[in-house]
Amino acid sequence: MSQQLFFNKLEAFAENVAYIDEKGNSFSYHDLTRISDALVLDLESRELVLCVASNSSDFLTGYFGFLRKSLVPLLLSSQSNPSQIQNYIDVYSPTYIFIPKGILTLPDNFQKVTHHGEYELFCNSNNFSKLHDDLALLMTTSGSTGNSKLVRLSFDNLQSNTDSIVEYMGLDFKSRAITTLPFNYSYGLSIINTHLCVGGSIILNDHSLTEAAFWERYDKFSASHIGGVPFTYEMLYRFKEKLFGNKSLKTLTQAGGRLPANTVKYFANECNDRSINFYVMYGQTEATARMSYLDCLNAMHRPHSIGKPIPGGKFLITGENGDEIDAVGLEGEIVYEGRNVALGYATKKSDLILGSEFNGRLNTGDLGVRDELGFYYIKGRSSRIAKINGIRINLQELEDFLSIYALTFGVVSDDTKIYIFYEGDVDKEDLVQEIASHLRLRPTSLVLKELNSLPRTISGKIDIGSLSQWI
Amino acid sequence: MNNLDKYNDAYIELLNLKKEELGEKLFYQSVEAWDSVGHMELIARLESDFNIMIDMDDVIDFNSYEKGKAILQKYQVVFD
Repeated sequence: MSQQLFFNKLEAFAENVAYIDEKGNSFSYHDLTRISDALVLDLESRELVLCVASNSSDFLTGYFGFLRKSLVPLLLSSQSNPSQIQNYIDVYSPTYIFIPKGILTLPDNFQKVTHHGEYELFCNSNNFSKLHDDLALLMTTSGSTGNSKLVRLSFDNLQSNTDSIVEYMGLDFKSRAITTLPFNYSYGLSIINTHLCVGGSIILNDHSLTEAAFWERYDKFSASHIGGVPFTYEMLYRFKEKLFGNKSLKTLTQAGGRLPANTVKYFANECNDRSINFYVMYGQTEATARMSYLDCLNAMHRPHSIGKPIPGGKFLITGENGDEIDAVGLEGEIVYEGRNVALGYATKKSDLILGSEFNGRLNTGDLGVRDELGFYYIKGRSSRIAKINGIRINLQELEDFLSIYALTFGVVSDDTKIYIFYEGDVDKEDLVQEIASHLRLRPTSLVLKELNSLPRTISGKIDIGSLSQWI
Repeated sequence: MNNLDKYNDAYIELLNLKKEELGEKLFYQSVEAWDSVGHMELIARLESDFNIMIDMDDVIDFNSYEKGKAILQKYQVVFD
């Protein structure tokens, strides 16, 4: 099986351009494998390596080196603060740590092994990791606050989701993506994996779309592929002349939360006129990345839909007892089945020896329906998780956090903003800032509203369902 | 309210800055709140408060407090 994995077959693409680094230099697949393998030459395989990810050539080559050596990377955001990184080190005790220079002082038991451009590799040589044979990669569930929960992904998860995406998008060696999303975010990672699976190229970019440097790289290196969360699309709309001015653009993708239907239609129409592929997609880290997609023509006609399952995947709509509802238009929880469903979660080191707990079946927590043509639509959420620009917010956790204010709060979301209703007297401005920094969201993503009395159920609990009418 | 006050308020309210922080030393990404999301919000707010439409290239060139003032003057916003 290991011979079948895309990261073990990179040599086949020989002199194709694998990536263009920050300075604008091109590196072939030979370069990629040479640099990646040199880093890991003396490392033990099947050990845990904690990584602070970034869209840089140093990280890209590190990531592929680790995968090729069968080390298991645990990917953390470069936005993580030192105490969060330290928390993951304490909980999972990695054998190796791969981080940008100077971001964190490591405990004494970690010795520096080598440096790799702007990164350094450390080792705790007294440590060893017990890992399940299928375990390939660990990712955070986005937006979780203060916990150390991870999603356990297998080799088969990575390969099967990569294959599915390559198939429905028709990616090939001419595809060239510019990075617009974090490396440690499952959607961002899927763009890197799919492109290097087919011999295509990655233009490493750490600039925002609001910066001239982004558009210079986009034009100069002839990007053909851009992915974005809803906020990216707000910017792409503003910069549409630059976006469509580059004739090499072939594919636009969107995921990470609901894009307004009129925006979907706008981009679908513009792309259709220019023979550009546009995909609206639905996924979760627990499904490695993608579960369904809606192509350009269908996005023009049914912009509210999340499309159809990816090749090899399947949706079931289930009732409260978990049984499938096999009828058009009836609402139930969307359950996904496929080889890309993660092994399970980890919350402690000993969980890393576990095999599959999800058994290829994922309860998405989203409520949805299927239409007569087999397109799926999200109607709401059974769990209290909101998703704002790819960041998941647990609304129950937020209410628990707010309880320190000794007021009563009810929290709802429409996936564009979080609405916090409360009874009582509070300094609204301060509270907005406090919550925003707690959730690492922008203050403008929060709406605070005082109500004379919060709606309650007969049992006296806050009636969350009826709060939505105040949005 | 004069135009400078309006301009300053956008930073103070949207990016949660203090009046003392505004000036020559304030650049895009020099404070945490002025990231790409903050930037788009700031532009939208200025467009709405001054009733103008800022060109794509000016959105990109708008990389500091002072540069922003210079750009707004192209749109007939006068600072005394």
